[in-house]
Amino acid sequence: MRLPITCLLALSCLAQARAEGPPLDLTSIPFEKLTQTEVITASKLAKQVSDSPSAVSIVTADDIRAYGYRTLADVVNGMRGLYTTYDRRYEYLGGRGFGAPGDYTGRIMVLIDGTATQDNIYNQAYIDNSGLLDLELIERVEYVPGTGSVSYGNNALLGIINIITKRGADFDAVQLAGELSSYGGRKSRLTLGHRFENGVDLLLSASGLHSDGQTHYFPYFDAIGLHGGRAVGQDFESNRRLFAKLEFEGFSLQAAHVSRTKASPTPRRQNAFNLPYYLVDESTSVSAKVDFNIGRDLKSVSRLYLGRYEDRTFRQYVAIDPDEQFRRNQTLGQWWGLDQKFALTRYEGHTLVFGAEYRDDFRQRISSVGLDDHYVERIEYDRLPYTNKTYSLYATDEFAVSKALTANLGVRYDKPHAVDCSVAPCITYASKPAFSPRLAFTLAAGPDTTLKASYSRAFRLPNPNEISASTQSDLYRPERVGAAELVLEQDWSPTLRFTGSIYDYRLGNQRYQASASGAELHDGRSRTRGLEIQLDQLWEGGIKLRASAAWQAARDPEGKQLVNSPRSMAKLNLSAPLWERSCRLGLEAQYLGRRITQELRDDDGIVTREGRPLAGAGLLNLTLSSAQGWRGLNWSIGIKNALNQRYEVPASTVRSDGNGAVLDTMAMDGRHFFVQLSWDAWR
Amino acid sequence: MRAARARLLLAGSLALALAAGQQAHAQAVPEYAMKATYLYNFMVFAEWPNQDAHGAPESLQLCVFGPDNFGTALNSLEGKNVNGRKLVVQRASSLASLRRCHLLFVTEREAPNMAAIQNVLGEAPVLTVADSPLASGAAILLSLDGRRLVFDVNVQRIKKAGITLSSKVLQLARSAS
Repeated sequence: MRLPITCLLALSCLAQARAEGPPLDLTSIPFEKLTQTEVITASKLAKQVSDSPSAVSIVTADDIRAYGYRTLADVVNGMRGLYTTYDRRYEYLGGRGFGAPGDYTGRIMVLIDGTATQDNIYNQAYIDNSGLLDLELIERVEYVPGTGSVSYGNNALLGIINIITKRGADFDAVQLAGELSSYGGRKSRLTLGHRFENGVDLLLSASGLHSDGQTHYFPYFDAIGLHGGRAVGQDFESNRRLFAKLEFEGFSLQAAHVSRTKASPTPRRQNAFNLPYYLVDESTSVSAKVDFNIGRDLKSVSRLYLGRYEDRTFRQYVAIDPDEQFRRNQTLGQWWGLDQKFALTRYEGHTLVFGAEYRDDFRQRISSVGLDDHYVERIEYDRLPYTNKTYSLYATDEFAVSKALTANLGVRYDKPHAVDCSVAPCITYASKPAFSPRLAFTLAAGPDTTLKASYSRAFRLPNPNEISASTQSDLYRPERVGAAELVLEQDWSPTLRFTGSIYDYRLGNQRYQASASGAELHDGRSRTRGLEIQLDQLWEGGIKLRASAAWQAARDPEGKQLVNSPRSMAKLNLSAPLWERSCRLGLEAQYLGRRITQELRDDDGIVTREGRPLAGAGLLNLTLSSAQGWRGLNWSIGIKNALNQRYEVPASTVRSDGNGAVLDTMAMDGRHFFVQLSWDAWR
Repeated sequence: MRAARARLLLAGSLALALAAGQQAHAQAVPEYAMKATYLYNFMVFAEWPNQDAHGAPESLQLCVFGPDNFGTALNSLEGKNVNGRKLVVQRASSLASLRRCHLLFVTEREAPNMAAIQNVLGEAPVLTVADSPLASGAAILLSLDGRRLVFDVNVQRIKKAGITLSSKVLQLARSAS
């Protein structure tokens, strides 16, 4: 059945190729008409937009299409030194010595057009279908490795993912799109984008997806005699997304909303296996930005943002009491903030950026209720209110030391006032100011050689979810990192670039549980060192190659190899036009080296078995997509894990029954497929 | 059942796509072919002073400085008649040779050196065009806006070089300042 579809696609490619007539003499077309004609953008090695003095990885809208990326997690997995881990609830991001499974993606920051999007309860950056954006709305994604606290304060501990969204003019159409995928997946999207004559640019988009998921078999639950180890109907997923953006001259207004429900095939409580456990996340982000020139050499950027996150996770108990048949979270986070930034270029050779930010996390409520069998609320378990207000000041100066050497010095001051009112009297658990400095040098060693060296420090405040387990939240300390990095960028030709980087991260004030005693400790220190290399090559005719490899040596605070941190990683992305450029084939190969699972602990938290090594895994993804210029109709078809590799990743929650049955890994999907079709109506 | 219907829908849509594809006339133009044509049009709608300063008065020099992505797109311009003069395409290799150009296109790779290029040019009647925001000193800056190629004109710069650009070009510019 799939073969005919593939043939049909190939045929449509050929038909398109033949339709292209002889080349016309463009100079014979009036200039007015030319300026109204669309262009097919040439592929080139992307240049970074952010001014970060580190080796930035860039994924463009073209890459997203060419490699069939459908979530931010797919994008991240294609990037040098990064990987994600899925526990069939969320995708968690890992790289550079962080990324314990189940560790919410809080040490990395996800920015959408400059606005931080993670919630203020778990500090999670949502990179799967619970994230705010459809990938079709993304112009480019930049991953800036290294600390970002000098620019963004709290949480930008280990890197920044910067998403730049498209504008209405990029669509200039009403676009209808649909997708079908394996495991009963379907998605539809309606996008409207237009730039009006008066310069107003508008983008509106709505989408929804649903996936039936699979029946998963767990030998562990079979061994302990629960439902034959089969979780039936416990893997479905659905989401709804809305996005709106309005731009006019220096003004921009943006709103994004997502709600997602994902069933978890693994239970929260062991005996609730195969009972409903639905993770429900809802995020909203609204921002307004005004950008204008005060004078010839002074620019102002003001940004107001609002955020809301709600966790309404629902699960069924194994009956305890008639009033407690189900449990539903009513966890709510709300915040707003104002950032005023100035860029001054008055002084020859200096670019000075300075400003102030105020952020008010006025609602951080962790709450859940017990429901009876009519879903009526009977019991409120806890209602833990937290708040935090942060005042920040920052300044950076980029200046030329000599003709070849540029320095970038910056510091940010953050003064939090974080209060825990789950106890009486309230505890102020974070109030000490934090300084996040950055010192970086960029040396243009030759016309094609750039060396970058940087040292920076960053911090991360304990979040409400972490401290909610304790009545002594003042024991928790802000996590710290000091990061040193050296980067070499060498352009061997306009179409061949080499990037190499070595880094050394030292983390402090980490929270961990001692192996021998099971005690919770708050002063963990650890170190991660690594090397990353990447090659970007572009050939005549639009063939693109990106190959990267990364090695990392990450230790936990006890000096052991960090859980779920592969020693080596390799990625290869190759895309090439086919059939006279009417289609493009994208090939993606990824290798993740050996990594270790979480250790087993007894009821006192004492380690009873160390983590065990999991074999490395190689994946191959193939995508065939129509090229631009298809009179409004576009399609793409993809095969993920084309070699049908059976592989496992470390589980976020380990379980053992004392008789040798252990659940410490999750099996990932074998070969699966998707087909997308989009149509630009009303052009 | 649902899967079967979905497949039917898909096959139908693809057939439609096929039909559309066969009718479709390739409307969009490759980026660099378009850029080359813009350069040609700028030359058509510009007037240079003191024509003898450029050597052979019967020719108009279009220079490209730095490694470029035009491929063969400029070849078709070679020898074209522009207001009675023959267009000559040159890949410039040294800064010193730039003063002889009528139109100078500074590629992305040389864009960071725009200040040095301006120094060499001084007030020579050379129309500078670039396609990278790094070359902000260029008289005309090409950029992509959505799916269209647009350009911004720096009128001061053009006046300084003593070149007259037709008002038609200024009207088509996204901005002229």
